[in-house]
Order: sequence, then C-alpha cells, then structure tokens
Amino acid sequence: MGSFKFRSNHQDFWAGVMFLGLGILAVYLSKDYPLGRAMRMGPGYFPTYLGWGMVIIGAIVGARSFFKDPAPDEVTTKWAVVPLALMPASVAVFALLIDTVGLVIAVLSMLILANASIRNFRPIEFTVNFIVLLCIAIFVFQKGLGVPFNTFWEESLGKALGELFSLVIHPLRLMFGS
Amino acid sequence: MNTSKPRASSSRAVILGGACLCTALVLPASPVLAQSTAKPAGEGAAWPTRPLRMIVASAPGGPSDLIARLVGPQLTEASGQPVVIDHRSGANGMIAGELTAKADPDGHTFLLANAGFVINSVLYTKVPYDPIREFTPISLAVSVPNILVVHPSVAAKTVADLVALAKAKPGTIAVASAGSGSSGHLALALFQQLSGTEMIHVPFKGGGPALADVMGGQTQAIFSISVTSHPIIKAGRVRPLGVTSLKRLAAFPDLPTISESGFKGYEVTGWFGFVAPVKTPRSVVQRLNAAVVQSVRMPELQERLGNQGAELVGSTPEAFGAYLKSEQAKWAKVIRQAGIKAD
Amino acid sequence: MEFFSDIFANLYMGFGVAVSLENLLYCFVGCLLGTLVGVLPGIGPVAAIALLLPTTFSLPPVGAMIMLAGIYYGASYGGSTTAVLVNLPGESSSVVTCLDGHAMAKNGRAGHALAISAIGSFFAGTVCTVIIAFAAPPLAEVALKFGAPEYFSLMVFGLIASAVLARGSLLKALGMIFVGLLFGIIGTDVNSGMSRFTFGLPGLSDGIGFVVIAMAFFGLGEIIKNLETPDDQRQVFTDKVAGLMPRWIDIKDSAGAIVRGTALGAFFGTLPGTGPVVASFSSYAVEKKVAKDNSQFGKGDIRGVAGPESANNAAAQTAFIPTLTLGIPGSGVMALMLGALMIQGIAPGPQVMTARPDLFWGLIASMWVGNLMLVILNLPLIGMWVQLLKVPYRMLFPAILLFMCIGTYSLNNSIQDPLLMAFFGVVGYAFMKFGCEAAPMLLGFILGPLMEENLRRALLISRGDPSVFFTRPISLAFLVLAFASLLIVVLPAVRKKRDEAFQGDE
Repeated sequence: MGSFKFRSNHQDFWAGVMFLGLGILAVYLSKDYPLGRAMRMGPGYFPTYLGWGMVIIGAIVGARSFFKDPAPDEVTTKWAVVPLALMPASVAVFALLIDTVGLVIAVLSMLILANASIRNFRPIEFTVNFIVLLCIAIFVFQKGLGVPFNTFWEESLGKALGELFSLVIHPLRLMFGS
Repeated sequence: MNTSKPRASSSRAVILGGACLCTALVLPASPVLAQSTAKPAGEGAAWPTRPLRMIVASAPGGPSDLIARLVGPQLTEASGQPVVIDHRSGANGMIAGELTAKADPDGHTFLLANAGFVINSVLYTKVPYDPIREFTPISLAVSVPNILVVHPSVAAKTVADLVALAKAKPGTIAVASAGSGSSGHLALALFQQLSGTEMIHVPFKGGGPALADVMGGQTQAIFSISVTSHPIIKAGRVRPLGVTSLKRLAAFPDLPTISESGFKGYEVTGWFGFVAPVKTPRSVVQRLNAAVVQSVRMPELQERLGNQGAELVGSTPEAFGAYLKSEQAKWAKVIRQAGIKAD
Repeated sequence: MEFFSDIFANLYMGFGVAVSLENLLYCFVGCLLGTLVGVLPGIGPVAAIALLLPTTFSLPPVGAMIMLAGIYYGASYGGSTTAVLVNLPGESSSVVTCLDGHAMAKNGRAGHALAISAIGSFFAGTVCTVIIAFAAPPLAEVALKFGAPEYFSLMVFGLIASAVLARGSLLKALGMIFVGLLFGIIGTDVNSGMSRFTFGLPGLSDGIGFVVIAMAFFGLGEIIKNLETPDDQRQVFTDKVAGLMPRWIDIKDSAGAIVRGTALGAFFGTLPGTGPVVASFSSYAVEKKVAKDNSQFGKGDIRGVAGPESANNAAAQTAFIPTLTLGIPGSGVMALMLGALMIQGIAPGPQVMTARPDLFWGLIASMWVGNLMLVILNLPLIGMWVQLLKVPYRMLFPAILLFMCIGTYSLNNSIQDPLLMAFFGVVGYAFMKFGCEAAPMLLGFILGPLMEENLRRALLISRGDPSVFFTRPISLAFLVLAFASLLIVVLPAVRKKRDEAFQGDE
C-alpha cells in the first residue's frame, strides 16, 4: 500500500480511511430514506447518524496515525495478493458453476483454483483430495442431508440437450424418416 | 520443523475421508429422499415421473413449514413419488414466488403459497411475479383466521368495549403484529377503517415475539393467527375478543366473530394453498388437486390443525382462483386507504 | 416442602421416562447425529434439526423430542468443535470460542480446548437442568417483563461489553462495532417495511446471513492470512501437540470461568432471540476483566474458552424455558421443536406441563442425560478431531474452502450466499491487515438491528417519550451496567496513557 516518507502508522491510517469511506457511503445511501425525528425515527435516522459516527471515528483514527509509531508487526503487513485473489475466486467459481454444470465440475474447478496458490503442485495429493472431497459432497451433503445439488448437469444441461433434440434432431429424424 | 510430510499426507487424507465417510454411512437416508417405486403412469400425461418439489415460502419452523411437513407425506402417498420440501424464505416469500413462476410447468414443481403471496403483489412496488397471471391455482388447503386478543389488564371484554376505549383515548392502544404487511397488520388496518379508531401499530419480526409482547402486557392487543394463539388463550394468558372469520370457530364456539360484533362483513383470514406455474397441464393440475384434497381430508390433519382453530378446506382450482382474485382486490383497497407502503 | 417433594416426584418420573432403553437410544442417536452434522461448517443447530426432523416423524412423541433435543445439543457442541479446529463459527454463539479456542489449537492445545468445552458444557447443562426443573415458570415470567426498552438497554450493554473483547485499540474496536451495525442494517426495516442498502437485489431483502459474514471474516480471512507464508515455511498448527486431556491446572484455572459462564448463560438464555450470543460475549468480557493476568486472552487462554462455552451451553438449555412454559419459541431451533410437537399431535403451550407431564419431565430429565452422553461421546472423539489437524495445511485448506462453499449455499439453496462470502472475505482480509478485529464487528452485526428495532419500537409505544429507558427498573439496571462497563474499559486505557505520559517526562 501507500508508502509514506514520514513516520506514521499505516495500519491505523488505512483503517481510518476504511471507516471514513464506509461512513460517507452510509450517509450517501441513506439520503433517500425518510429521516423522521428523534422521537419518531424513520428508516433513515439510524443509518445516517451511524454514518456520521463512522466518519468521525475514521477521521480520528486516521489523524492519530500520523502521531503514532508504526505498529510492531507492520513488517508483516505485506499483502498476500495471490491468495487474496485466488481464494474468493475459487468460491465464486464454485457458486457460478454449481447450478449449471453440477457438483463434479464445480468442485474440480474450485480445487484447481485453490491449489493454484501452492508452489509445488502435487498431482497425487490433488487427485486424492478431489476424490475424497467429492465423495463427501455427494454422500454427506447431497444424499445424506438433501442439499439440492445436481451431480452433473442432469436437469439444466439435460433440459438444454432435450430442447436441442426437439428443435433440431427430432425434425431431422422426421425428415429422413428413420 | 519439517511440516510438510508428503509421505504421510495421503494416509492422513484417508483419515479425513474415512471420518467423513463414516458420517455419510451413519446418516440414515431421510424419508424424503427414499426411493419409491413409481406407480405406472395413468391415462394422459405421464405424471409424476420424478420426485415432486414443494417450494415453501418461509424458513423451517412456523405455520407454513408445519403444513408442508404435514401435507408432504400425504401427497407422497397419493402421488407415489417422494415430495421434496424446498424452503425458499426471503423477500417476504417473493423469492419463492419468482422461482415457482419460472419453474418447468410440468407439475413436478409447485408452491405452498400463503396470504402474503397475494398481499405482496399490491403492497410492494416491484414484485417479480404476478400471482394471478403467472400461476394456475391448485387448491386452497388450509384457512387460518386471526383472533383479536388483548392482555388481561386491558379493560375491554368485547370488541365494542375495545372500540369505545380506542375512541376515548385515540392513539394510545398499541397493537402488535407479526410484521409490516402481515395478515395481522392488514386485519388491524381494516379494523381501524371500519371502526373509525386510531391505534398504534407495532410491527415485530414474526408472530411469536409479537404474541409474547402482548402476553407480557408491553403492547395491549394483537390479531394473532388462531393456531398460534389457541394454546395461550386456553391457558388464560390473553383474553380473546373476536375472531376474524365470518363463521365462529369450532375450537371457540362461544367467541363471537368481529363481523357479528357490529362490523358486518369484516373478514381477514390467513391461508395456505397450492399453486403451480401457469402452463402446468390441466390434467396434472386436476390430479394435484385430487391429491391435496385427499390429504387435507385425512383425520390426522383435522386432529393436528382443525382442533387448533384452523379450517381445512381443499377447494377446487376454480374456487381457489376466484378467491385469489377477490383477495387481491380487497387488499388493494385496504392498503390504498390505509396508506401502507413498502418497497 | 410440598413444592420440593412434588418436583422430586416429577423428576423421578421424568428419569423413569428418559432412562428407558429405547429413549436412551434415541438420545444417543440424536447426540451422535447432531455432533456429526454440527461439525460440518455452516450447518448449525437450526439446519441440523431442520434436516434431521423427518427422521423423528415415525417415533413416539417423547422419543422424538428427546432425539431432537439430542440433535440440538450435539449440533451446538459440534459447532464449537469446528470453531476450535478451523476457526469457523457455525452459529453466532461460537464466535467467541474462535478467539481463544483456535489460538489454542494453533499452539497444539486443541485437545485441551475441546475437553474443557465439553466439561464446562456438562457442568452448565447439569446446573441448568436443575434450574429448569425448579424455576421454569417464574423465569418465564421474568422473560415476559422484557419489553422494547429493556431489550434496547440490554443491547447497549452488550455492545459496550464487546469493546472489552478488543485486543488492540479501543477506538478501532468501536469503529468495527459501527461497521457491524452498518452491515446489520442491510435488509428490510422491521418498523417501516422499507428495504435499506439492498441495491435492488431481492436476495438482500432479508439481510446478509450471520454465517456468511462470520465465515468470510473468520474462515476465509484466516485461510488467506495463512497462505501469506509460502508452502515450505508454513506452520499453521504446531507440531508439538500437548496431551488431549487437560491438565489439573487447566481445570483449576477454568473452574471459576465455568461457574460464572453458567450463571450468565442461565440468565440470558431465557431471553428470546439474543440469549446465547449475549451470554457468550459477556462471559468472555467478564473473564478477561476478572483475570489477574489477562495478557494471554486472544492468544489461547483456556479461560476464554471455558467461560463462553459454559455460558453458551447454559443458554441453549434455558432457552427451553419460554418454549416449554409459554409455547413461545425464542429462536429458530425452538420454533422447529414446537413444529415437531405439533406434527406429533401435541399442541404446544402452557398446558403441556399439566396435560403431558411425561413429556415435560421426560424432556427435562433427558436434557441431563443428553449432556452426559455428549461428554461420553465427545471425549473419545477429541482424539480423532485433533488428528485432522495433522493433515498438511495445503490439503486442509481446500477442504475447508469447499465446506464453506457448500455450507453457505445450503443456507438458502442459493448461490448468492457463497458469492457474498467471497466478497466479504476480501473486505475481512483488508480489515485484518489494518489491525481491525472481527469479533466486535460480528457482535455489532448481530445486536445492531435488534438495538435499532427495539429503540424505535420503545419510542413508538411510549409515543416519543424517552424517559421509558430510565423509569423502567430492568432497563435502568442495564443502562447502569453499560455505563459501569464503559468505565471499566476506558479507565485502564486512560491510566495507561497517563503512565506513559509520566514515563515520557522522566
């Protein structure tokens, strides 16, 4: 993150910025909600004043950071950019795939992304992990607890193929009279 | 020191897998998922060919869930296919409504709708479905009236007393409800319109906390659905003043209706009924209707719900369709007059 | 005297029901299933009961209730296990367990944490069974005395107490509470029915699920942080695993915490809705303040596990009080239990106690039996759970990630929840990097909406008169407590500042 030449506490500075930013966002988003009065509050009252509270806290935290020494563990505040991108991405990929192509491919894609953060890829470990986790997902969650997953693409893709069949293949078959 | 021991790792993975597989083996397959032999398809469309999916517009626990779990097994018996109950709470039931509207109209997916299904369509500005045009009614299963109850400390023994009290001191009686736009809220709004009184509406998150608040005397009154308030009334913790259906309840034969207490035609009932996507084939709707009607006639349901103040209906699709339309028109008027808004 | 002899006669009858071979079996199966399902991240007690409810349909009513109660205890305990092992709080009351429990696991003391949690829970369960047997009806009346002003003051107290949780800067903890309050506002406003901060997404209209936020800030954030260290240098869990069973000194250290936690939990549990959360958080706050040396809190102090775990189990137990005596469910779990009763053909309500004494007292007796069974079942399982931590982290973290995906998906069977978790995982990691702690944020997230709701409800009922908060005794008591905790939190900080200033002068 930003590097300041003068003595300051980066952690506190950025925490202040976060609070300030969220506070302003809250105040801005609340402008459409009726404010009401203190004695008969509307839906906008609480978030608006909450937002201002955050602005104040953010400002104080941010301002004080310039008079504070860097935190002792500031050395370790290097961001882990690769895992930070890969972990949420693997969750998102699972979410986006699960309803369409089903559990097997969603789990596989998720694991590939998650493992991409590991330096030494170990194919055997990966395969074992994949098979074990897939079995848990299917037997514990899908079958045992009834979480409505498709294993593959039965319903969605099957439906798409079915439509393809009725739109293209079926007329073709009729045409050629087989 | 040496944390990575690839040699041992696969055996550990087996431990992990083994542990969790044990979980799988110990877990008995729930009856919902048990395979049942499909009965040979009757005349007309082949239905049902796979498990039926009953979408429920609320979270587990509460009246919708209860009715779903009671009717589900009966439907399984009647159709020969397991019924999977799919809870889709959220957005006051609008998520469940939208999901059903967009489902395959092959009779395998249907919705256990409640009063909010129609109320939403006039209460909210943006509703992702049209309860009349995008659905085909199957059957009104259960009708649940509200009972107007007050805390015993309130000096009102009848509906007329309460109205007199509210007129003497306008805006002092606090009436709890299960939430903005709930059937209790609308019952209050209609009551205020007909009686010309002014009371404070205090919404809660759910009927249980609201009723508890009245039991504790924090708020004075509530229109509470009969199934919930029945045991509390029996125990004498709250005093019933009137029931919101047109007929008296079998569970409380001495309790007058609000309609007969001077507000003729006053009727607010919560209900639970089944609807399917609009293009569901007619023959399948008929068979679903028959299954629902058969299941609400079971003595178990009468025992579990009927004695608690609910009415088991089991109407025809046509009657249910007409009911949905009349409900929509009625609430549109009440909501407009009372100036209730939500978005 | 008659009162006591009646209760003993009733308890005797209750044990007669609960200790039948058949019901012991239901209790055991319930505890086992509950534990096994409860350890799955994201499957908390509500989900566990909802999923396993159909298996109880064919049982007789007493057996069904006993099994469901077993599932409930098992799932609650299973949730604590996950919190300790992989830092994933499956329900709101195990957030606190994460703080010191997971730290202990990293220090190789997972066994100690799990064992003390089981022992504390058993003690709390025993005490609360007795409390329910003797004092359920009067306690239920106390719970009914809580109206909107009392709840508001309780929330104020809870939020201020949560500032004690903070390890670092008090001001940043306050900021995080505000962040939590802000996230909690997302969704439909109870008082007006208006959607706030939902960006037009219908899926947000019920707010963001607690599990989603907790998994994002604790689970996902923790994984990313652990991956900061390259694979070959990483050591998430120490190699030196201390024994499984706690040492005598651990038990001696924890005894006070367990007793205090039980008392707090027994009281707060009777209050519908927030009981277990406030109980576990306030227990942690109390322990941190009572301890002579509190430097290890947050780094693996066993008292930080023993107190909150006892509190949370005590609260899980006394949560039955309003449900059983009034027929009013205080939580999602209790709503499901009542639903199960109705499916069994029993109308829940105040009359259950007199109409079905076998059920009422059988259930109370089975609470104790269930707690005993949980200890017997779980102490041997601890060894197995601890073994799991020996799986290399590079294989463990993808598994945790997948469980989090499935767990959040299964909340509403919707992909929105895992997507939200991914987003908040990034936010959570950022806050972690800025030295902001997640625990105060989560408490703000849980209590904030309730605080606003009850504040506005109180003013609505009092027609805008704010004096209700001070004229009602219970409300006033909580506000005084809140002020006192504020002093306790602020004074040492001020004193430290002053000392530092003096040192600077020298």
